[in-house]
Amino acid sequence: MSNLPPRITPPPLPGFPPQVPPVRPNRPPGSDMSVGLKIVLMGLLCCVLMIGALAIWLMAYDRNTTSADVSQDIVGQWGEKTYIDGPFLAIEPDTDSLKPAGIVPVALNVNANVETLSLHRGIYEAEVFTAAISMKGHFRSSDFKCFESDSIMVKIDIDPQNVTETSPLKIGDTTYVWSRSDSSLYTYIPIADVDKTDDVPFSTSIKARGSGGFFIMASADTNTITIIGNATNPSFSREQLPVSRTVGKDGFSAKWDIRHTVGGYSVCEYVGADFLIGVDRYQKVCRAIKYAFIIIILTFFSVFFTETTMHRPIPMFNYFLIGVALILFYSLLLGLSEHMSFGASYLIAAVMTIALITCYMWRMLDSKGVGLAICGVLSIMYGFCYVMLCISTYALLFGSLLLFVALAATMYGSLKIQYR
Amino acid sequence: MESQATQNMNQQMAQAPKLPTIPQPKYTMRWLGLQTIFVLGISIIFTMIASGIDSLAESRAELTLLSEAASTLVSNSTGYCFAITAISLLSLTLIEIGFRKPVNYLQYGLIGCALCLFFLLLLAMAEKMPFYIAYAIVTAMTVGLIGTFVKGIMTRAKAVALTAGILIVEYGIILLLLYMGSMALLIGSLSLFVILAIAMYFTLKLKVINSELTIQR
Repeated sequence: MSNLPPRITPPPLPGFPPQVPPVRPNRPPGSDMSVGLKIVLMGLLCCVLMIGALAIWLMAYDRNTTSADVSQDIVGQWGEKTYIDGPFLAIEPDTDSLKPAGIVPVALNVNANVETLSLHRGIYEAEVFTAAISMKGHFRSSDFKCFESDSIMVKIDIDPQNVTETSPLKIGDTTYVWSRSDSSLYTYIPIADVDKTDDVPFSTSIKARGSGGFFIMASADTNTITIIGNATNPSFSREQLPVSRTVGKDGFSAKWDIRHTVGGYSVCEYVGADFLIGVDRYQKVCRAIKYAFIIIILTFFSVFFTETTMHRPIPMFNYFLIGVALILFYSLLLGLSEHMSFGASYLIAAVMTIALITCYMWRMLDSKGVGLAICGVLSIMYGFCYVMLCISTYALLFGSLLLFVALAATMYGSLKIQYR
Repeated sequence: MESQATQNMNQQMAQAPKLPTIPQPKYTMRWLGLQTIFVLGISIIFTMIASGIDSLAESRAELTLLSEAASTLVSNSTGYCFAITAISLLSLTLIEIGFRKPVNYLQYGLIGCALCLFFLLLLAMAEKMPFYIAYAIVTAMTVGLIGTFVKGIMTRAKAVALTAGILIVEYGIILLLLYMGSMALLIGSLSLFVILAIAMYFTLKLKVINSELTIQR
């Protein structure tokens, strides 16, 4: 500081008043409001607008709860999770011995085609499924020799409410019609009909319905279970993950190949997948509202930057209207998403909001360039917001990077703000 | 001597003809900014009062003084309190600027009270008569009261007609939404979008002329 040369003020010219530096008010040109007051009011406005966003969030949360209740009601009437165990040869329960309650087949091959469909009640809906299951396999012939009675019960444990149709059990060349009990399908086979010299093949098929999940017990010594379906969001059982699986937009397929070294039920587990019952539109709207504050702040800054660089004051009332348009986006999104897909709703609501604000800014400042610039800024923000809604794992990283870029852009923009 | 000269000067100044003074502009951008925050603030307060009326409707329904259907309709109608208060008072602000007739904060507060009292009257009347008749009577009472009040403040028939027209449209839309069921949210959002677009159109006519906000016709 001390090395700087002293500033020399030239003496005033004779007959002229001394020169004074021009007054530089700390306010945008043409505005009677200082920058500080304007920023404080913008902050207050943001807080008030966030109350509106909170109200929409509460509305979405409330509708989500109602939707879950209605979905459960629909599901209760259609059928809940489907568990299939069998077929196996049932043994009369004997409490005095340690015999197992059934004799499982040596090999079991199950193919299931699970088709999901939506059931609607008003604007609410629930995802349910119908399943076509074909089962093939064979028992050991020696297993039939231990039965002393004339006939033996073959059983499949499944909730009969889930069963819509059955085809007869085929053992060898003979067919047997299934009967229903409280918790299973069963049929009796005369021991005399069974060929005890070789393996005893069987096959049957069942049509079932349910919701929330579809599971099959891998009870045989060697199990090959294949499940295909059109659900796009299956969550496979964690105890036994499939050996091969594909999940895509058109559906999924999964295959389990399980071999038990020790027979019996103690080592058997259900394999299958859970499915989403309700729809996730409300969760997506709630997640979208989390980005409302940053979108409002960035939009306000863009408008403020435009106001300052164009030297055209914009009243706070106009800021308020722009903020209301930004909040109304979420209300439109919520309303539209109840009648169409979330993506289409987002697109329509975003286009409406961007078009409104763009036209407003264009007409307000009589500048097509400003309108296009605001349109670009809003399009980028809503585009990034949608991307963050679609990616789940990388949302935090992506959002942080986006904030960094937004901060850099804001810093760069603030360097351009100069008052004359 | 000096005091005598000062007295003479004061007398001369007192006798001199008074020059017209330039009034300070009232409708400035700062005023509009503060007015917007004020309107939103009192709208939030009245919304809280309306939620109290909502609770009262539920308790009256529990006491079987109000039918379940009417209670639901009254509760749903209180949900629109913020929108109707904010839109009405902000419209009045624009009308005030347009007609250059000052409306003070107390008068804004009183109009807000009338808008909030609508819901209490609706609850009270819905206990004694069908909901839609109660709604029509209370709407007429509220619009009449506010219209008369605005007439007293502004003394301009056009301002009264504008205020009354805006209120009637608002209450009409709310009545439609109440009977619309599951489509109410979508139709309500689209209606708000249209109202917002109209408000934006009018604010485009808001210009600063001689440091004062003016609506250009």
